[in-house]
Amino acid sequence: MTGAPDDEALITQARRGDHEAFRLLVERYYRAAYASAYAVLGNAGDAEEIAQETFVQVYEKLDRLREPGALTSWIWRIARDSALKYIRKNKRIKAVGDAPDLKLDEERPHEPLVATEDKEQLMAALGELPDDMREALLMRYWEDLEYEQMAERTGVSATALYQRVCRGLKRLRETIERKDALA
Amino acid sequence: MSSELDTDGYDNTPEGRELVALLQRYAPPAVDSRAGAQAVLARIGKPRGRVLRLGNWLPPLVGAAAAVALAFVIFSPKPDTQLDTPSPVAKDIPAPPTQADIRHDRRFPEIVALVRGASGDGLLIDAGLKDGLRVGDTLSGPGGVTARITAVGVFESRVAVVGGTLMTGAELRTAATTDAQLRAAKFAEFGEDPGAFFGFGALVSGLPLSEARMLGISDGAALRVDETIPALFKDPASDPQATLAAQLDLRAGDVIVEVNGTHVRNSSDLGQALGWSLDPKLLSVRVLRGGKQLDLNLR
Repeated sequence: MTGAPDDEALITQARRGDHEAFRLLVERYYRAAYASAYAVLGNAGDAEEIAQETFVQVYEKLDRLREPGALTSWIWRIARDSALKYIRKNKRIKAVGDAPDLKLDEERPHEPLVATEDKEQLMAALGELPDDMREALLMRYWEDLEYEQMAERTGVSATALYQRVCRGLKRLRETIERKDALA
Repeated sequence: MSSELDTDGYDNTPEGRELVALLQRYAPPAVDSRAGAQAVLARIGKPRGRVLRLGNWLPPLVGAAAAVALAFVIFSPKPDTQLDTPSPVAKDIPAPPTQADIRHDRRFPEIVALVRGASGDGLLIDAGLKDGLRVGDTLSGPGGVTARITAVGVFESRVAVVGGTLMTGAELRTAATTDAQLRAAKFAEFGEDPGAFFGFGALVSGLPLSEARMLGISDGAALRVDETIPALFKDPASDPQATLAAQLDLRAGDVIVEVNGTHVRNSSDLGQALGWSLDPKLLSVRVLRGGKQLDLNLR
């Protein structure tokens, strides 16, 4: 539609040493890597550092990427893993209490999340989501993409992505409520 | 465009809207993708190709160059006056590899997990199926302590500790050597499709064209089940539950032909066919096993 080269073409050119092609790829997915790292770190400066590090890794390993269609999830994954490593390296480890012996009450009526509107809690809950749900939520609400844009990027249908977002929101709520019950 | 999508789901309920607002409130500050891309290019610096292929040779080369430079410094006659001109040798020596670079070059990547706390009759660690860990795998902790995995989730595992005690925050490590671990590492490192459908309970890969044709699959595209996950926990506070793949009696070696009547050619097709929004009780998977076609379903 926009006439912009697709990922596969850019990857091919970047593999041949075309820095301009790689720059376009970075621009296209920089916010994704940044959002993925921010979801772990909660800090914009560190997240940007990790986003840059992510693309340095992507560049170095581009020859080994067998499925261009996996580029997005690969970038999300590298950014997330790099952010987790960064936390470990810097020993920003939070002690976690004993795991709860808690059963979620499926029938519990909706209660406002006012008491749990806390950034750290949100980040922790995001961290517990399955990758695909977290990516869908962050693409939608942090990158502000439309479902069609998300579908174009991931190769997954807009309907499936919408379902993923809804399931992700539900799971997020369950996780926050569980953590809230422990607090 | 968007109007074609039926968005009358959870995000439009009061609870859903509240969570959306929460997410948007804590969205990261805006970032300049162009400036970021420039910074990345500045860090990459040199063109691709030769430099990268030399990657494995750089550490010894750096060592040799450093030795030459050191010998030059030690044995060369001292000038009477200090010159400001930098050494041409030193100028051309690339920066020595960092510990991270060395680790990156390891033949077997390492899995590192942290102890997060107690879980059931063991401890919870922050690595699981996505890292290639499976029940029975062991990791080493500080002081010779061993942790054996007794239950797995996608992101977490429960371990039994042998030979001592472990505190929350302790690091556990193991070299990635099993097929599952190497497969996970390849995805993390190189983006190779892991074919992982952990929620479903199976890992799959594309069937070679020749095999698919021999099996009579007309378009030559199908998926083979490489591994099934018998059970996993979705919530570390609860016990593992049998996966759908296990309930279906899907087995390693099965060739998946159809899911819910839809021909499955690749991982993407499988993900869409499984749908996740479907009632699992209606799930139906057609496989080829031992030359026979079987319909597996939960009903």
